[in-house]
Amino acid sequence: MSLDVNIVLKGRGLFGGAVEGEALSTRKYFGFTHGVDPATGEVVDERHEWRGLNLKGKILVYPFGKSSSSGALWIIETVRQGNAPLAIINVEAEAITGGGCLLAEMLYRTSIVLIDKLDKDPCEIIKSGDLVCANGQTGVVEILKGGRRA
Amino acid sequence: MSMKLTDEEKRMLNGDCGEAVRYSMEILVKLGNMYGAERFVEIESAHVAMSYPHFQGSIELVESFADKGGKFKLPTTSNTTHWTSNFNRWPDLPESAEHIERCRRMIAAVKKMGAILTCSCTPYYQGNLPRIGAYCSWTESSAITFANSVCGAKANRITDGLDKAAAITGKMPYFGLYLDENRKGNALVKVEYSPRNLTEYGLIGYLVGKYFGDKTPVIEGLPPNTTVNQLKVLGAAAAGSGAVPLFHAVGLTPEARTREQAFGRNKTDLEIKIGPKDIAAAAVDLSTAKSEHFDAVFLGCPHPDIAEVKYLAELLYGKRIKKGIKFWIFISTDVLLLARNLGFAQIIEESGAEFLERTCAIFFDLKKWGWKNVVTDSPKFANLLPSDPTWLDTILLDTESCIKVATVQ
Repeated sequence: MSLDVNIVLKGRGLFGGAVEGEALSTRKYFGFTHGVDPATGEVVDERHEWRGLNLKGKILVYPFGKSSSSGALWIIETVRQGNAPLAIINVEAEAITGGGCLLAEMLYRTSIVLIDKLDKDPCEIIKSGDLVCANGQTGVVEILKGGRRA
Repeated sequence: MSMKLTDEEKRMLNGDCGEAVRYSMEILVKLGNMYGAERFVEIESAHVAMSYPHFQGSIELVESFADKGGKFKLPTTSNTTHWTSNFNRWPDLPESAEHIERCRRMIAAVKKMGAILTCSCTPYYQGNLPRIGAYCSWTESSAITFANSVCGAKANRITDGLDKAAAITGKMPYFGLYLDENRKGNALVKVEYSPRNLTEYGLIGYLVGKYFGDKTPVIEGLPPNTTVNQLKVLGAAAAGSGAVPLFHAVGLTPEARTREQAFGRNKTDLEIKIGPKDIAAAAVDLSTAKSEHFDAVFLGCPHPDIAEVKYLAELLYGKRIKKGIKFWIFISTDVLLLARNLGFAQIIEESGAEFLERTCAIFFDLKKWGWKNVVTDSPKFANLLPSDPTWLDTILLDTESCIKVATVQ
């Protein structure tokens, strides 16, 4: 896989392998609980700017998880129904998110890449529509601005 | 870096203690390695979730432990669920057989593993009250915040599945808020307002979570006689609008006798002030209903203590709930039994209000019932209910006003 890389960030690779996809980015906290409809992948948090958008196959970029400690169940069910995002990139990924990725993989053999603690704020640098290559092993995130290949 | 395991932990991971222990250790070692834990700690208090049984995945997760013969190693309380006495209790509000069957499977699995089925979001009222410094494995975001902030115990925000693994092994990786250095404050909240009721404590919490959701906020200016129950409501709202597992209230909570103790060596420029205008704006933010009409009133989020129930009995005495609406009070079994014993429950039920024990509004198939708006006194409820799976718009009022709009003399 070769990308005409504009920006490379380095962080902590928490989970999963390497994926490439379109970013969905926000500066607001996001919680899977009451945040996504697992049957469709659609964002259903009435108070979130992502309301109505679909998470399926996206590289999600948000600062931090929020809300209920049952977040893993919503991640697991979203994975089970085939509507999971490819990756989650956080400023810091709490254990509710990490636990969700880990348990979903154990139950359904589907990994969501999880990366946090990047050397720059990912919510500043990555914009919705950018093409992102995220490696959950190395923690390296490559960003192609505007989503175009060279 | 990999976790260092003791000989006992290696045996547990190798399967010498059975498949459920092996499976649980595999999960916890992976978690520990993800979060850089060097070793395990022994947990002293466990509270497990029984959440969202309407998902097939939730049932498959809990049964993955129960079917392997998992048994909880220490006394383990359980969180709210869709309890059996509520199944099709209202003939006009039927729930699908499929939904009820999944709820039964969830209860059966957790029971089989040996949980004490308190089914409440307030385990600290049911005797699961951790001492200062105790390592806890708790789910339920509001209870985690209570354990850390009010009890001074140590609990990470963990999630369904990790809780079962911890209760089965009696262990958790040593990370996050288990470490003293991660417990100091790093944002300041100055409250310039004297909350007049429980709902306003929740509104302060909602704002704290909204602005400092990923921080450890230090709150100054709460009244010196603030009660444990008021801190419960504040913490629950902060854990819902943000992810605040630990706050310090100067002069009130165990790790914040002074501002200096709360912050330790941390320096911060992060500061918000909360005054009357902010409280009013937060109440508007949490009222999404487009009309004054409502289908139900929901109280009891988090589950009330006996003093709250006594207050409700005083307010509802001699009144009648209006026809055509439901007035629901979510409650733990122990507090309800005491309320019955003392006569409070009878006064409340004579008004037409109903108790729903061991459960929470979010487990009902409300979407199918055609309800549009609910009135609640809980900022946490008001924050959650407008989204999936309940899809209800909210009218947030203080407790007294909830009763005013829902009753006739």
